[in-house]
Amino acid sequence: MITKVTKLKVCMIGATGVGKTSLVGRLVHSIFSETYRTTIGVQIEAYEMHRGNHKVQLIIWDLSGEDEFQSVQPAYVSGSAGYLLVVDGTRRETVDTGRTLEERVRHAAGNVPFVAVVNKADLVASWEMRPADLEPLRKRASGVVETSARSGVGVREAFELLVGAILTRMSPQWT
Amino acid sequence: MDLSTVLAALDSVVLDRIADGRFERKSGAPSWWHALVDEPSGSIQPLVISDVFPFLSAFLPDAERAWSSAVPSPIASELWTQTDAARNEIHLEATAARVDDSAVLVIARNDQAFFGRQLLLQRARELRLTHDALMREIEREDILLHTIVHDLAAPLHSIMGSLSLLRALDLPPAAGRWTEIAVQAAARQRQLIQGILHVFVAEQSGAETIPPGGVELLRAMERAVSEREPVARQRQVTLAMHPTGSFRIAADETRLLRVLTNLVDNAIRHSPPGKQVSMTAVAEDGSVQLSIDDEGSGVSPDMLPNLFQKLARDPRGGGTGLGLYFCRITVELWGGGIGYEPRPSGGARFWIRLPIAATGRDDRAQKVDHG
Repeated sequence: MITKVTKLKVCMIGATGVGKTSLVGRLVHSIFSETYRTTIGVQIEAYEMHRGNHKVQLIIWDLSGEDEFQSVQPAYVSGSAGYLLVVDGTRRETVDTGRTLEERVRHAAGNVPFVAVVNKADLVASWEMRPADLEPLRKRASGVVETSARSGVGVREAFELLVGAILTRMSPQWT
Repeated sequence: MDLSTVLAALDSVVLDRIADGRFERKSGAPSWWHALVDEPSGSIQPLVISDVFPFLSAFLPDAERAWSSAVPSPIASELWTQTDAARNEIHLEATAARVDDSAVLVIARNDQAFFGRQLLLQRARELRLTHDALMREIEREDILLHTIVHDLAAPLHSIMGSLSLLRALDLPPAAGRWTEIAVQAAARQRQLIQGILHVFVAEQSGAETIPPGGVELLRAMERAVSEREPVARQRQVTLAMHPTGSFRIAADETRLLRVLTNLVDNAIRHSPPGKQVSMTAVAEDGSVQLSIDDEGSGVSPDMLPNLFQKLARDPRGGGTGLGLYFCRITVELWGGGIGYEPRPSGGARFWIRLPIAATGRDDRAQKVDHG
C-alpha cells in the first residue's frame, strides 16, 4: 500500500549527442532509436518509481545539450532535486563539458546530488575515456554508472542511484 | 464569431491568473489541452499551472516581471515539449502579458517553430558530430600509420649496419658500387622515415614542451653547423655563422636543432660547389630572426604558394617534402613564423622568427663572432 508520494524534479545534463534523450526514452518508454534527434529547449517526461511503500514521481527535465549552438539555462535546473550528468565514453571531450556544466549547475541549483553516467557502454571498444578522466567527477558524484541506452544496461540503476541519493539527503529513513 | 473558438482553432489557450496564484482557462480548449490536462468535462477548474506544465516553473519568474512591470510588455518562453499518455510529443510555448489588470498567460502549440528550429540545429549538430568523429578517425589512423613507419625503421638499422660492414671489406669494384648504391638508398629511406616521424611528433605536440627559460639560440646554431659540416664539405659548400648576439628563445632544443638542420640541409642541397651557406641572427621587437642564406638558384615561383605545405616537393629533386612543413608547424607552435625571400644578389633566404624567452637576451651589448 502506497503511504507516501514524493514528486522530484530531476534534470538530464550533458554535452550534445551524449544520449540524454535516449536514456530517458529507454527508462520511460523502453525504446531506443538509432536516429539522432536533437532536443530543442526542454523535453519533459514523467516516470514513477516505487521504493517500498513510497511512490516517487520523477519529473524528468531533458535539457538540450551544451554546445556552441545552445547552452544550459540556469533557470531550467533551478529547483532540481538532483540530476544525471551524462558523458559519452567514446568522446573524451564530453567529460570536460560535463565538468563545466557540473560547476554551473551547482551554482544554479545548489549542492544537490548527481550521478555521473558514462553512456554508450555498448561501444566500449571505441571508448576514448580513461578512468582517470572521471576522477574529478567521481569525487563529487553520488556514483558513476556505465550505461547503454541501446541495450538498456545500467539505465534504471543510474536513475535509482540518483533517487536513492536524493531521498537519503531529504530524509535518511527513506533508505 | 466566438474569439474563444478561434483561439482554440489556433491551438492556443488563454489563462487568467486568479488571486490564489492558480490559473483559470478563459478560452476554448484545443485538442492538445485535453491530452495533457485532466479536466472534468463541462467544468473549468483552477489549475496549479506548474503541476500541469512543469516547464512553466522556470518561466513564471520571468512572466511575473511582465505582469508587474509599469510598462507592460509581453514576454515569451522558450519552446518545450511534453508527451501525452499516447506518447505524442506536443511542442509548446507560453507568452505572459498584462491585459487591463489581468495577468494573462497564453499557451500555444507551435510545431512549426519547433520543427523549423530543430531542422536547423539538427543539421548543425550532426555536422559538428560528424566532423569530430572524422577528426578522431584521422587521429587514430595517423597513430597507426606512424606506428608502422616507426616499426619499419627498426630493420633498417640492421640493413645499414650490415651494409656499412660490407663496404669496409675489400670488395670487387662492381660489388663496391652496388653496396654504395644500397647504402645511399637506405640512408634516404632513413631520412624519409625520420622526416615522417618528426612531422608526426610536431603535429601531436603542444607548446607546453617549451622548457622554462627557453633555449640558447647560439648554441643550437653551433650544433647545427657542426652536425652538417661533413655534408657541406662533401659538397664543397662552406658554412658560416654571423650571429649578432646571444639570445634565449622560446623553443625546445631538440626540435629547434631539427628545424635548423632541415633549413641548413636545404640550403646545402641547393648550393653549387664552392659557394657559401650563412646563418645570421638578429633581434627585433622581442623576437629573433634567424636567416639562412644560400647562393643557389633560389626557389622557383611555381613552388612559392605551397612551399611550407605538407609534401610540397621541389621539382629539382632531393628532400622528402616534409622538412619545410615540419619547420613551419614547429615554429608556429612556439608562436613564431617562417618565410622565404629571394636574395637580391641571387640565391635563397629562409628565415624563422621566434619570440625571445621570458628570461630574455643573455647579453644584448656583447658582440659574438663565430663566423
